[in-house]
Amino acid sequence: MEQNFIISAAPHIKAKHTISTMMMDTIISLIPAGVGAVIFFGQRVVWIITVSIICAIASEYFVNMLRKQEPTFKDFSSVLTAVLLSYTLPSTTPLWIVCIGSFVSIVFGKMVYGGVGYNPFNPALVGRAFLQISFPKEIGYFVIDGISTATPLSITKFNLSGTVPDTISLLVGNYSSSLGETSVILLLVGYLYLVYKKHIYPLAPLSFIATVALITLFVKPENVLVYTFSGGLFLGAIFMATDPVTTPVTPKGKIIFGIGCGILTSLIRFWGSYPEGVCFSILLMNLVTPMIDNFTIVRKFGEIRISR
Amino acid sequence: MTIKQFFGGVHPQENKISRHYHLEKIFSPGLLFVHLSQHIGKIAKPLVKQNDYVLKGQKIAEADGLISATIHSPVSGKIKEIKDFLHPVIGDKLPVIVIENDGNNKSIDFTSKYKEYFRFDNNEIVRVIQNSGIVGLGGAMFPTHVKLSPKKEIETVLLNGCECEPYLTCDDKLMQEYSREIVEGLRIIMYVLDAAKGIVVLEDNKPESIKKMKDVVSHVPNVDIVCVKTKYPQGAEKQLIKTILNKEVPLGGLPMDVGVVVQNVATSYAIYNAVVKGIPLFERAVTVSGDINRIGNFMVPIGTLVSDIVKTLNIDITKTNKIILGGPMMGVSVGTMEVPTIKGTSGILFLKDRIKDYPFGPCIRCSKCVRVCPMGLMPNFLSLYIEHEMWDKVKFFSPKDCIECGCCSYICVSKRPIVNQIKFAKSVIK
Repeated sequence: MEQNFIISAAPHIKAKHTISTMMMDTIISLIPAGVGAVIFFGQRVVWIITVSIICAIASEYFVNMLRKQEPTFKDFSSVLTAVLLSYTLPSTTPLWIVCIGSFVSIVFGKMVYGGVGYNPFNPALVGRAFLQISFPKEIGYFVIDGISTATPLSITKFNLSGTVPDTISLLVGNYSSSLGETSVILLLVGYLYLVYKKHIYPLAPLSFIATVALITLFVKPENVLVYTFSGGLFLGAIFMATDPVTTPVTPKGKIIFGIGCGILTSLIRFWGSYPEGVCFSILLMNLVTPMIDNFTIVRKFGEIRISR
Repeated sequence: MTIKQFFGGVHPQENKISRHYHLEKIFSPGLLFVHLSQHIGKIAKPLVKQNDYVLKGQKIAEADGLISATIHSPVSGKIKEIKDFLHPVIGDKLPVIVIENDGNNKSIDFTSKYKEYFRFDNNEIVRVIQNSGIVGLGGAMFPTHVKLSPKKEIETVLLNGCECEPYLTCDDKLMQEYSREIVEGLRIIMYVLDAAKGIVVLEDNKPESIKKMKDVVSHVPNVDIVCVKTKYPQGAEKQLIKTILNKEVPLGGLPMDVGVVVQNVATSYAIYNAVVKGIPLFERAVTVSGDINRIGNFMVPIGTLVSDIVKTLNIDITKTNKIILGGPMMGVSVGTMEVPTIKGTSGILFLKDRIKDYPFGPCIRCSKCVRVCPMGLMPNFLSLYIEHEMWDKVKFFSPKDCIECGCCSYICVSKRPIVNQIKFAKSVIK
């Protein structure tokens, strides 16, 4: 009758979510924007996303083998990175460039630091920045409905020929830009899902977007809508500036992070040589994340120590 | 009244499956193992020898100093021996008095001259409570007479009927069946402390108790019922005070620093029994629940072995692989059924399909723990620095302010054992 019972420490119940369910939720929240991209830019989008995902998993598995560790791709974080990377590329990107970007994202963005949880920079943006610098021509060619058109940001910044889409198409997303970043409405659906699932702090993306909108209002008031609704702002603010690993942990810190990103984005957009600055601004803010954490430590409950 | 909230906290699945079972008396056959350490403080001094005959309610051990508590025999019978036996909370062998139950249920004369307690000096009432061996029955087991003799002026007494732990329903049931006694106990506490106001706090998942208590309280001056949102750890003293009175107990301070004393409803019931009826504390309401065929709420004599409860109730435990004394969030798991209940045992849970250790991964800084920590600590940094034994950094994040509620471990997506690490750090940093 003697039966052995398990001894373990409290708490004896745990919440159901794990790293993989959290990553999966984020991937689910990205699906609407992906479906939109397929509708706007055609079937090629599916290929870009698929190649990116396969390459990412293969790269992670490759590093796992080199380090003789258990395969870690089951936590879906590499899939999420791959999807985010592909969303920042134009629909005309050659597949071999997608491959390289995915490899760089996973290996140099994440695995060299020790895998998920240890990377200082957002891996998808590391890959994106690498491609931006190495292949500016190949990933700077935007097509919609078979017609090559510059992105709204390039048109307004460099006074290129072409028409800036009206507000409705800016919100819906059927204009030329990178494939996952065009539709504000579909990205907001993902935002609401993430907030509902409590995976992101709701004010963090808003502080980023509001800062950009505010600065644009002062610098180029006639272009507020284009600068807010086009470009990678919503994609970056909702899915990259809220990446848990590389952003501050405190609520206050997250808002400061968003404001910093907004200021840097505007600086690059108005006075830098690139039309878009979301990618670099988030990477730069990733650098100061530990510092923000240090300065925004949460106030403890009852923090006025009494003398006894 | 708007329902107020404290910062942080989690809401695990409630699983209050035993809520509709009435409180039953349980007869414990055979041997009872009454621990001499059933409270925070010094181990009590035994007053009996081997082969002595004791009556139910007889004092068998005496408090050793101020922070200690008296212990009474839960049954009548012969003292078999005094030996070392497994302690359910400390997990070590500590002295127990083993009493052989003769089944006659012969008790000492339970009469009290303190029925009209308000005619007596409050110090005398405190002495009655001290002699009845009453400790905090919420689980902390802090001697009640110490709490009732504060050095500062007390304005408000909060009676904690939140029972925020999942599964447990014994306080809920106690409030339904002994609501009058509990409120009377609260009035005794208020009289002793000379407090102007008494508030009974319940979570909104106990509608029957709220109704019963409201009925009773409507005739009682200066006592109120406040209903709060169901959320763990609502029953933690400091969080309770913040929610109800919007006062923050300073770090390192006690509730009395803001003029409040918090007592559990079960303690209040025990105080009523001790002062008005003269019955000392030797049994308590215990919830037996989990993945088993027989669940319920029982009045269990202190010192009953878990295996005796299983035998008496015919519980089929073959499918379960974990026994928890207390609630699932803060309770202690025990490796064997040969362990006695003590004054702080509010529940005995039998759970199945539990694995020993959750394999834990790296911290991905999701900051969920920061959002749920009711004390406003940064569990993620504590966990990382403790893992790497960087004690200077650990000290900076002050693990000693942790109330060990376990919200951080509960919510962690990487299943990191954060609260265990913090407990470990507390033992390292003195």
